[in-house]
Amino acid sequence: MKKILIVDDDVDITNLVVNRLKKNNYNVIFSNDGDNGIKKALEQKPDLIIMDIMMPKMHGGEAVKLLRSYESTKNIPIIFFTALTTNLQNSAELDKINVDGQFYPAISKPFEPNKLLSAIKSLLGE
Amino acid sequence: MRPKDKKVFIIASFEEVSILRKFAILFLIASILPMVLLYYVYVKKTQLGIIVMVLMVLGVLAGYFSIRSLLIKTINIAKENRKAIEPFLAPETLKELDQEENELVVLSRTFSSVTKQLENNVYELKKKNEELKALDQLKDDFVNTVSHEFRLPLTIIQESIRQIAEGMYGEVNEAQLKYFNMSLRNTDRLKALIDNMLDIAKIEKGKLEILKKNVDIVGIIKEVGSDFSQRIKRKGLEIKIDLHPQPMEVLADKDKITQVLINLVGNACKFTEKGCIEISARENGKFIECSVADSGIGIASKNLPYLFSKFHQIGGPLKGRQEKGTGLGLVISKNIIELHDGQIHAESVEGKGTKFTFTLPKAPAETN
Repeated sequence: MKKILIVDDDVDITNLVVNRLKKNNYNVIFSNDGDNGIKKALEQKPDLIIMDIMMPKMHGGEAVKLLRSYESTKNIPIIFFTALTTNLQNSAELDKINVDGQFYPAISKPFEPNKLLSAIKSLLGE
Repeated sequence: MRPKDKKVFIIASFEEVSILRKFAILFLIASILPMVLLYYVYVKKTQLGIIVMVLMVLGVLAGYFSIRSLLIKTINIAKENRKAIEPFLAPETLKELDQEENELVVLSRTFSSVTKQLENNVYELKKKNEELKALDQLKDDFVNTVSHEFRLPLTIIQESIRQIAEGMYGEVNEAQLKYFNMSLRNTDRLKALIDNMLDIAKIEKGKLEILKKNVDIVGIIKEVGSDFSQRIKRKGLEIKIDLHPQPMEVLADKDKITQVLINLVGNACKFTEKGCIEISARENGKFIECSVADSGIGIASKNLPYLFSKFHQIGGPLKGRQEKGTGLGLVISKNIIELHDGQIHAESVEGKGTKFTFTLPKAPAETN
């Protein structure tokens, strides 16, 4: 079973996504702030990370930059999960966000569960 | 006199006038003295003396009048010019001009004070401009923050209801499902509203982006049509989709064109109680022409010009309005179509129905 880490400061949203993913047979772990999220990623080596952007302690973009700097986490696929739509680059398939010149897929909130699940599947190569 | 020469006189006239005036008086005094002398020496004795005397008097007078006429001319020009510049000068400057002999000094003083004033004004304007920019940024930030803050609770509400409705937490009966679906339709509406607000903010900043690709408009119309078919049928309406059997490629942003079609078909559905809604597409020169026609309440001709204006839904925001909406859909649609170099317009007969038509450029022919 593939392991997915959710990093989102909103407890309710985290809870709902955890339920949704568990229902779809994923092993789900989560963290409610960026700092802690990085620690969990280093310890538990998830197969994929879903990352919020607007978080109080550490911005999602910063967290991703840090994750990319560690050998053990730098290749983990990441999906941004955000209600901040201004930075999204719309595209026909999946919206994207640019962090330091690299594009990451993004799902905007409110989200379509099917869109989220198909993005996860394609990133995990399922 | 050409206007250019006049300008020179504005500055020069007063000085010239004063010199000429002095010269005229000197001329008179200088001529009178020898005349008085001549009178005592010759005039009383000889006839020639009288003739010389008369000629001299005439000469003096002729000299005086010619100088005088020159003077009057100059004074008139000066007056005229004075009148012309008066409205542009401050009262203090005018007073100074009246008192000061040398108007050049006054004018240069005036110019430098006007320049200073102008510099001050430019500075003030720059400051105002900066303030407005900051305010505009604040407005943008506000729109973004508000939309973000709306989206979070909406996400929670929508996903919670969706999960319950899907039966993730136990079986749901038919009545419950009906109301869950009703709630979901309305969270969708809220989401569309927030998206519209953001779109409008982007349009106002000229930041609405479109990604043009070759897409099949027939396919898009079919998708939108089938999305709406249930809602249309539920309302007891008929839906007609009149399309070319072959795909028709246009150069367009699929998502944005879908948004336009959803808006137009949604409007048609909203404002039609009986009859049918017809969607069609056909070629027209270099363009593909799409239209959405309904047999609804129609739009009064006096309201047609305001159709694509912001927050305009016929009937006003409160009074007698039965249908809901932000009144932003058509503004956004128009902007989207125009960003594609197309056009959108509406024809309507009140009580009979409305037809919206928009054009999109055909996709360039494949080169290989």
